[in-house]
Amino acid sequence: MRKFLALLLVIGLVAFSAVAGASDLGASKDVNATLTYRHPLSLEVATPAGTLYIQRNTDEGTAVPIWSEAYGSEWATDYVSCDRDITNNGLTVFHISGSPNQSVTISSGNTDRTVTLTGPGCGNIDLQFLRICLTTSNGLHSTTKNCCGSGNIENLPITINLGSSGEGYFAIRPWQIRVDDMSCKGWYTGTMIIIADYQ
Amino acid sequence: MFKRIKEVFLILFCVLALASPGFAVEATDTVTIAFFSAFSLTKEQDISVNITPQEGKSSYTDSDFFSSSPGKLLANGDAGASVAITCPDSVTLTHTNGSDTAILNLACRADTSSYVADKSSGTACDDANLQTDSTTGKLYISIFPDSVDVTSATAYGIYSGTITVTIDYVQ
Repeated sequence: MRKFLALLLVIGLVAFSAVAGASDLGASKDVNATLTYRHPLSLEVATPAGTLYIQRNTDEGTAVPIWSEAYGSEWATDYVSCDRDITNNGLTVFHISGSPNQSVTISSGNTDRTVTLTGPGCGNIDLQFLRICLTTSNGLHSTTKNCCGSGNIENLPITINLGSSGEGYFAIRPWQIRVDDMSCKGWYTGTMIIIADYQ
Repeated sequence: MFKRIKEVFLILFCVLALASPGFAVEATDTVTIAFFSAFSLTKEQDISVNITPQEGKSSYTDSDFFSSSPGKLLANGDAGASVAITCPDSVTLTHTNGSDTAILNLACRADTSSYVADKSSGTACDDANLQTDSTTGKLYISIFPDSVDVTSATAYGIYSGTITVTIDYVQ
């Protein structure tokens, strides 16, 4: 009987101690963890710029309307006019693909977004690719030749969203030119660099 | 009256008999009472990692991350109390396709004044001497994504998972 009472006493003390040290004063919380493992970005030319024909002193057709104004240090800013049928000349369409719904910044790798076109040896033409053509529906270009509609042209750099498909098109169009020798006729070429990177 | 006095003496005798070394065994234990306010633990930010994969690579350290943000929890308890934090070292994240997984390794740090900026600052959450702030009773817990191992280097997309963090008083 005495041993039984003593055992009860020990059990009682241990139980009391255990209750006193219980963790009902603590707290716990769940933390969510998300990994976005993005698709590598792919950027390729879907439709090359082709040849932009520039003709001096004309107001019609596929030509630069104000060739003379592009002389020297002055830029001719309206030689690619939206209401003229310039077909696809000078308009480069890019295809981009990556992770859905991710934001991507499109920028130019050319200094001041300007490509110096070298000609037949008697002069150069600076061609500034300032503009990206976007559609209003998905933020990417629709590949139509006229991407000059109101509200869908933006300066570079620009951030676009790849949308639920993770891919689409955008177009870079020539904006203005600067010619240092009007008498130097011939073919001029240069390389435009466009950079896409996740934001 | 006399009968009542007899009963009292009888009870006293029994008590003394039980207390006597000759009649009873003795056992002692330390009685501890936790006299604290209950902890509150508030989640202020989840963990996120953004990785742009490199070809053929399936293991990434935090220097490879394109961007990341730590989990943030604010604990509030009694001032200057010793505490223990339980935070897993890693979590398995599951791709939205339900089959591919990624292991996200974590580094948990705590500080009494603010959320620390990186995994080298503050105090490790498993430090034995961790205490709440001596004035405010607060403890800022930051859980940094440390490294990632994906099971498939080409299983691009979104992975997600959950960890449970616990804080409690200790003696």
